[in-house]
Amino acid sequence: MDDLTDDTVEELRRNGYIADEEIATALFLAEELDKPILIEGEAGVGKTEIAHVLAKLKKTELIRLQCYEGLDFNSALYEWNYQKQILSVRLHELQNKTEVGISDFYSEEYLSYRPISTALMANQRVVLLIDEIDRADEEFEALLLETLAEYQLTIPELGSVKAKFKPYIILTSNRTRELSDALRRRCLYLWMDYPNYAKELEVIQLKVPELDVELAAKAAQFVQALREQDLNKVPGLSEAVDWSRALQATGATTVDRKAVENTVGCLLKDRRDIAKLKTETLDPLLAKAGNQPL
Amino acid sequence: MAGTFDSVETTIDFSLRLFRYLRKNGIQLGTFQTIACTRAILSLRAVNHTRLMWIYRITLINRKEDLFHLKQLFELLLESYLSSAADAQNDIDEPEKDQVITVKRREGTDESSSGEDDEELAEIEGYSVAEVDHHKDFRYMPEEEYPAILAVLEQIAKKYVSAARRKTKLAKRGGIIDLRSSVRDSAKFDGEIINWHYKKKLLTHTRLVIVVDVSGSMEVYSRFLLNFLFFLNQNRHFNVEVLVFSTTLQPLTEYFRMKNFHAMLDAVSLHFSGWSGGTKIGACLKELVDSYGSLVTSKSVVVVMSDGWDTGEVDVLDHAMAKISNRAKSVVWINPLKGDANYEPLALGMATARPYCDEFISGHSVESLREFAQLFSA
Repeated sequence: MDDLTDDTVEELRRNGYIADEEIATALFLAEELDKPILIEGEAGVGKTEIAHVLAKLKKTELIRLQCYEGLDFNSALYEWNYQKQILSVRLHELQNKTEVGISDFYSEEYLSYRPISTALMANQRVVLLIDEIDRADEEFEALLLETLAEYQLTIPELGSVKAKFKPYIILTSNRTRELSDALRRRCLYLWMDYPNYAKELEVIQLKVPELDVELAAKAAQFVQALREQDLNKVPGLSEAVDWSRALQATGATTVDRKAVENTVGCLLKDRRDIAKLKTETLDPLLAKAGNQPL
Repeated sequence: MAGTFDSVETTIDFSLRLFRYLRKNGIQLGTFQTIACTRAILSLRAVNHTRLMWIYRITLINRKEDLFHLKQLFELLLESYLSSAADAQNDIDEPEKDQVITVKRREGTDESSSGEDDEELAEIEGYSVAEVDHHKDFRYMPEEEYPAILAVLEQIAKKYVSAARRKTKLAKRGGIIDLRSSVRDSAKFDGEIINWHYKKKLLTHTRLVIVVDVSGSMEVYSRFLLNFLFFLNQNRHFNVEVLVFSTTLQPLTEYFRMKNFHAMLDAVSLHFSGWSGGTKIGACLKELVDSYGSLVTSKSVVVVMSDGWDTGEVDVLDHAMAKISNRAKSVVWINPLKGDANYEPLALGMATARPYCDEFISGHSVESLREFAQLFSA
């Protein structure tokens, strides 16, 4: 087992993703057991990124379904191409063809593929990312159940379409609402927390290799300390990376008040958080992160 | 947790016990999960405890709240499992079931060495994720159960705020084209679309105006209701105005935007001194009508939570309630005392206000708060 997950961790790293062994185990099991993974965690900890990296790693296509309120099966699963059907009827009429029946117009030819049907019909194992499933309505989850458990899709006019190659399915959720048990039961579960210092530093170094090592360490320390503050919007890993990039771009040599104030927009996305940081918490934070306040 | 089991067979044996133990302790496990878990263990040949824990986390659990419970229960069972395995070496003939009895011995009830092993497993001391009693009066809940109750309330609140709004209805004008309906209609005209059909999203914009009594007699209940409202309000679609009162009225809505409930209470207490004081329902409701009249419109549902013990004048309350019931879409009164089967609305304040209320519910337990949420999500 050691080798298997270590290999996965190593492969993920080569593709630009720092994973701990739990993530590697989850990905390995998803493939081994043919099960979708449900990834939950705070915003910006790298949930969506996993799908991108998995697609890269498996050298396959990523099909993404972004969920939103009101998403229905016509835009997620499949839809009949009405225009094409009507045009065909007209054409047949003009050509005086009478031998066509209704079922001819409900064949695969007239089907518009949407992310889920595309993933199931693909000619290779693709990665299907169902992003932010918590934004979709509860009824929508029910539409997914068949695909998640059986890797198939039932189209009343056509019958069941079974996947030729079972896609890797990854669902992500920010927990803005409770997902149904039915959906949860069918998935492996992965909870992603904010990274610890070591992992954060590693990610920053990987993503912003131009950044000075010492500065990267200071930036990671600062972000770690910042997360412990009472914030409206806690910065995630992606904010930390953006911020490090900003530090590098502005030519900062150390994490001090001036450097932070110039680049704070990359890190905090809430007006009140920024105001509070500038007026109250910045100096103690800098001190805590081992930097001299200036 | 750094140890290992000596073989995959032991791992499986332990896992089967863990499944049963988790179920006994209120963690829902379906066969989907247990089969996945067993297959995972077999395919990874997992024996290392730390790695095993990952497998359990990934395959068995499907919500964050359970992760912590799983860890606790895993460690408890592992400890007793390992100690019983050590005992078994003295007497190899000992039947399988007796391994579990050592689990029970930890409780100090070692005399009884027989009985159903299911029960014995459940009796490992020290940990329980037992269900919160949904019907029990908040007043009788021990304080250590509060976090569990709040967790349940948060779950319910999340469920109701996500009430569907994706339904569309046919619209005469505006909205987007409903292609499916238009095409279906076109059949009448030989496939020519003559009447375009439009659809609009169904909106459910009821504004809730909630007035909560936070005087001494109501403290426990109002705390849970406020917490519940706080969870509800974290949804962006939810339209709720919250006011609290005891002897004066204080709007809380802007504080409800804060992320942390306790921080909100702290901020409020700076501006409002009436917590746990006496009650002047009539005067406060009058103030609602006079000063915050714009909140009470034909689109708003006014919810009052109070036990109806009024120290002010009855006439004032009568007038205020009459005005509110005239103006508002409906009036809901939440009275926790109603949870008592023998309760009659006899308190003068309550007797006065009762005829003006469209709904009269109790709000004294988890279940009754769920009913409350159902009222406006329907």
